[in-house]
Amino acid sequence: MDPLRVLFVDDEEELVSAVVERLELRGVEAVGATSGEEALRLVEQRQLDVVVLDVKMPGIGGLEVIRRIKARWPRLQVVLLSGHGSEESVEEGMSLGAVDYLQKPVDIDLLLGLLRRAAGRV
Amino acid sequence: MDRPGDAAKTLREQGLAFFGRTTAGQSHEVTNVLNVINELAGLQLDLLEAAAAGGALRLERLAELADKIQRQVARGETIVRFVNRFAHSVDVDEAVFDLGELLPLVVFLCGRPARLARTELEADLPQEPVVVESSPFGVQQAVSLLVDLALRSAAERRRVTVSCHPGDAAVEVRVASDDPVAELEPAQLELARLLAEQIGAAVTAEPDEAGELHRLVLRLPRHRGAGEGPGR
Repeated sequence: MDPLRVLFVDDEEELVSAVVERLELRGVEAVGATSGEEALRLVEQRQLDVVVLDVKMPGIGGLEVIRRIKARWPRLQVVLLSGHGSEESVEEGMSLGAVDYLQKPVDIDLLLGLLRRAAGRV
Repeated sequence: MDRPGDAAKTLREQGLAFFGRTTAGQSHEVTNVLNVINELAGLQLDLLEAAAAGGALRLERLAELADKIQRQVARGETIVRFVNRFAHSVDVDEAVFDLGELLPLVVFLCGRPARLARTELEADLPQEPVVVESSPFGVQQAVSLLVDLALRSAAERRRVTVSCHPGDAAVEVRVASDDPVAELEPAQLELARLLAEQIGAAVTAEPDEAGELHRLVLRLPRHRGAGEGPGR
């Protein structure tokens, strides 16, 4: 089976690089972005199965990124990443088409399970 | 504001709201640090597990991750140190303090909203101490509000600067934006004026040479009682 192709988006650069490397160690083809703009560029350029998206970012925030993704690539799955106090944004993100969400700090094995389920690889 | 009681209530509520907003924002910053440490430590464990299963282990990679963890711990310590200073600023109604120490704290605490607004926020302060007798919390609240107003009007990738200009009887704290602060709502400016009056200071929006409002100024008397507001 082809590896799972994932884009992980958060504005904390070191968090992104560490999660990307951890996913790669688990056989995922992972790429990272630290802004909504960069995420949309990568979605445009790459074949992806799932986008993991922090809801609160400077510039184009997570919710706007979901709107744009769902408008152009409705079949691309989005999993939300949230922090404390982001419940309302998560709810809105789910209503915009996100398939699931995960609270930070990231539990890497839980994330992997969500990614596989989102991509229909279970 | 119709009655003095209404103004006092508004100021009390605004003070509490400012305190809550600031500490909540900084708690998010600490959480970000912990989240990064969690992933860096997790990656170290992953590499050790891979090595235990027969994979190659690069010691310098582990050292690099340990170094990143230490830098995140230092980042977290800085946040906690500033938040602690901020929290203790409500201990006294009035104190003699150096604006050269207080304003960097305000700039630090406003760093999160500035980052979210993608605006560069910097302090431009004199080398010599600028000592005033005032309310440390009140000054922080007033300057933070001016920074907030300037951030709202600044476009992305632009700059807001907080500077301090001492005079004999008063000190001017200037919050200058690369962009005109022309879109200020009257209610926001009114609140800034109320906050300033509370500490015996005054707030003005000042035009530059081209006549555009780029600068908000808090004129703070050196000593309580020298001002013109109800704080006397």
